[in-house]
Amino acid sequence: MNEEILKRIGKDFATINLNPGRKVYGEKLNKKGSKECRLWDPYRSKLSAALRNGLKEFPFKKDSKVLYLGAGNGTTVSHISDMCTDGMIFGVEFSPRAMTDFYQMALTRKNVAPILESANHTDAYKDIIPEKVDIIYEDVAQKAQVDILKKNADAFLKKGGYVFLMIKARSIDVTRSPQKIFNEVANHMYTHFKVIERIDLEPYEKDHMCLVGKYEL
Amino acid sequence: MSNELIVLREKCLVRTKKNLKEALGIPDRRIAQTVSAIGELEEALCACSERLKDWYSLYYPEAATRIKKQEAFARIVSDKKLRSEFTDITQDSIGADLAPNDIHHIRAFAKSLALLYSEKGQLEEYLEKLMKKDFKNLYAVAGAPVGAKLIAHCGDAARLANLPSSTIQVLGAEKALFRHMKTGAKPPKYGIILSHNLLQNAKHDERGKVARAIASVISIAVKVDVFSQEDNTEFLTKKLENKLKVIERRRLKKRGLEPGKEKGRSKHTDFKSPKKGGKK
Repeated sequence: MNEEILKRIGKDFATINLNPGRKVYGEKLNKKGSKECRLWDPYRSKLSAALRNGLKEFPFKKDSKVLYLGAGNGTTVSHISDMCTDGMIFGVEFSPRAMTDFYQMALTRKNVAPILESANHTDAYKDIIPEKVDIIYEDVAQKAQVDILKKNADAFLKKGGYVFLMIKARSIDVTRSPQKIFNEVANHMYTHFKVIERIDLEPYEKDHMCLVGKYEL
Repeated sequence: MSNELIVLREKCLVRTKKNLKEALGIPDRRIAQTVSAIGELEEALCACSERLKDWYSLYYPEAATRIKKQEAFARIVSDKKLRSEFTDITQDSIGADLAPNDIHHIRAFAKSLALLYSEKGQLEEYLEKLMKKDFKNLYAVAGAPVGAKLIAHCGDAARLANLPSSTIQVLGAEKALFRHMKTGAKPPKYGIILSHNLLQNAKHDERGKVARAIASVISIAVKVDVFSQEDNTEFLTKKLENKLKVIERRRLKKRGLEPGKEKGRSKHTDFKSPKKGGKK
């Protein structure tokens, strides 16, 4: 894990604030040495929850380019933007309501680019992302999660790039057991990705799983 | 950061701003917010009116029991300063003789309630206008509140138009629906559309059928509104009427009655005939 961009403060994880003194979603600020850190709330951000539960694979670097599907209000995006200061985060979000928050956040951070499109329609933002990205992070609570991820990976992910998939079992099928669904999704991923890590997000999120995969075609 | 990336980000910001302006400007959002605001006002007004009644009962319980309508009660309390201004209610009250300052605060509370009631009325009119303008067909078959609630539930009308009528029938009854899917309990017959006038007036054991009919026509109406914007209100209302007629006819047939003869039936047939195999 890269200590330079990801700090630990006690049990909590934290990132160095890109805009010192400014909060994004009401998180705690903490001075560590000369730099100000923003504590990363595991109840608000699934990536932080995965870190808390022992995520080992963490390919985010200073100059990483990230495609973030399902950016929502920009909670997690803000922390990734803290870490990848020299890279770029393309945040795709379809809901105008969430985008209003996200857009205002993006204005204050020069490495965040908001895109108001459905993650399912890759053609709509093909012209904006000409370069291949290093990481795709997907957190869309939709039934076709994996298909959307594959589509985007084919279009935008470079070879050997990483994917982070946050699966919400309840949005795939409410009736079956979450474990079965997770296994199915992992099997489904093998056509495109090598699944490296599986992290259950209990107790921060119920019936959620974080899958980390490597794009090897 | 490379120059190229900075340019890209600029492009993203400009495009997103434009798209956002467009997406926030569609009438569906205004309709959704208006109908939600009305719902919340209703809830708050109901609770506050109960409070006002309790509160005013300290001073003049006779008036509080006499005036049944909450809205009228709020108006009257805010208008009248003293007990003696009520002409048609007994002056020999059992209520406490409160000081003017005490009454003043009750009246101020009543005044703000009355104001909220009129605001709610205005919002309802506004909602009718919005619905009539952009969703004529939906308005014709579902009415303003139900149609607007359906749109609000889906976020926008385009999504509603893509739903099958069976889903529209149970929108708003998700809890019951998922309980049904998980445990096999009885499925819900209706969700938001329960407050539809026709469904409210329908016989209890036929509400499922009527709900199905209404939902099917609503689903067509929304599709027309979203995709062609034509005015098909006449055709759709006719269609709904016909469906209801069929349901009615079947019901009469089941009871062994000819259509139109129901009124003249004898007392005896008023009782439900026992089900086959039922308890004797």
